[in-house]
Amino acid sequence: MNSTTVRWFWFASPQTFFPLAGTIARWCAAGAALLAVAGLYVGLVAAPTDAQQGEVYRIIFIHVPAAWMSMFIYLVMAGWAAVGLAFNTRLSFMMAQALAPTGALFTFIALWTGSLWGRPTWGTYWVWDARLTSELILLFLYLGFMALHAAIDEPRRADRASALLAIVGAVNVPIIYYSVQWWNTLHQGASVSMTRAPSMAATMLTGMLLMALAFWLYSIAAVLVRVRCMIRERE
Amino acid sequence: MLAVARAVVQRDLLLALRRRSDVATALLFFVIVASLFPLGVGAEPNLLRSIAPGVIWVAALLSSMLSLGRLFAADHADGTLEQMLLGAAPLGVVVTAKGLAHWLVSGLPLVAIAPLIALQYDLAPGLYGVLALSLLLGTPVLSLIGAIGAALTLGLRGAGVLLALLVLPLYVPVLILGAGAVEMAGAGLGPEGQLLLLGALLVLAAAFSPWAIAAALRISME
Amino acid sequence: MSHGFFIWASYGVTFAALALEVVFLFRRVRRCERAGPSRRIE
Repeated sequence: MNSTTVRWFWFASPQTFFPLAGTIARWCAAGAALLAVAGLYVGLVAAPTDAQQGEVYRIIFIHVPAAWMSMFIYLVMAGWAAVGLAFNTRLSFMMAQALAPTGALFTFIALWTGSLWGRPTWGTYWVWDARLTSELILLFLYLGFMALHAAIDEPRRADRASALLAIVGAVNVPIIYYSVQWWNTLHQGASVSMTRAPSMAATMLTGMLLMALAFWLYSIAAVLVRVRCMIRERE
Repeated sequence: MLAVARAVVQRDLLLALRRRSDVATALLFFVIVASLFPLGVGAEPNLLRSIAPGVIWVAALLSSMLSLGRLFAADHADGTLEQMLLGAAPLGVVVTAKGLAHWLVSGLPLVAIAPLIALQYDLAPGLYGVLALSLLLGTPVLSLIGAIGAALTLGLRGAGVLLALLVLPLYVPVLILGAGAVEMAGAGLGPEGQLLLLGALLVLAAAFSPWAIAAALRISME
Repeated sequence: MSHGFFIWASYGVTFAALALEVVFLFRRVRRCERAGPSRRIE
């Protein structure tokens, strides 16, 4: 076996990955905390009050980063699922399984904050706009993934079946997103999308990016801790 | 390869013919669901006319989903499915043939029955063609995507409900495009866009789902 | 309802949910460790 092959799969073994995951998780958790403090400062203190929406628009600093994470995590999850099916590495499937709860949580947060943003700005708790509706379907995709894995007793079949489902879902996500967007314009005409924030001041963008990075590092930390538990539980 | 496909289609059609009641039940479900909505929302003609495309399409989705359980269950129970996996014929061809037979029995009849439902909802006469065409393009996609779910949930306890949870989110684009086509035609805006997109989905599904269904079967059966 | 309520509810539930996830993760870690180190990892 030449050395390149060995180096690729060096961390594919749960034993070698375990301590690495712990180290990365610790650093990411610390980073997440710092970035969150910075992001919250920008979002709640530094960013100016909006002319139209007042203070309520500040929800954007959680809503948009959470939505970004929910979609990003699903793609990463599908990616690990594909790696697992292609190379038949146990750890890849565990990564996919570990990502799902965190992804579903961010999807829920995006939906929750979106709903609460809708009430004061548009009058209703639920708005069938393209972004929120797509997030709702994404939540169903996450829950389906976790449900399928939970429904199969045999671990190998469970891993591989849910992996295939994740990939099929990932292929469908762009199709779903664009069809929902078209549906939304058909039925709501020219009404403003609730997620189009007040024209982006630079501070607002900074705040969103900081929170997004904070969420990202948090996700890495949470997922790695979860996968370490799964390694212990399965080995 | 074509000989194998034809044999599988003939076999599945013959089996479906022998179990006519299973097939008929799913179709009856389609009619019943569509009949429930007016009971729930009131029989005001304008309202019914506006919700008709959506209701018919949702009923088609649900009926299609219910009939998916039959796709692999019988063959799985008597061991034929294992033979198909071990056999010389490419599994993709076999599953496509099974999907085709399933659609002929569960999807195509929906296209035929839908105009009757549309009559109940007093859909404008000019829209019947678009409705039928949208269902004609969309129901195969539902069968193909649903077959992936059926293969993944093969033999599981609570498979029916789980299948619904897995497959309904994936059905959403077909629903939006299908119902949307009829609505666009109703608004005088022309359904060509939606119908073409439905056709594109059909091509995509036909091209990629056999691989996914075969892979799912192998995962479920090893 | 004042607009403040919505901001508090959004941020509050978000961080509460994240905190809950962390709590559950730590409980899971403790459960693993109580089961003793596995032969292959440590």
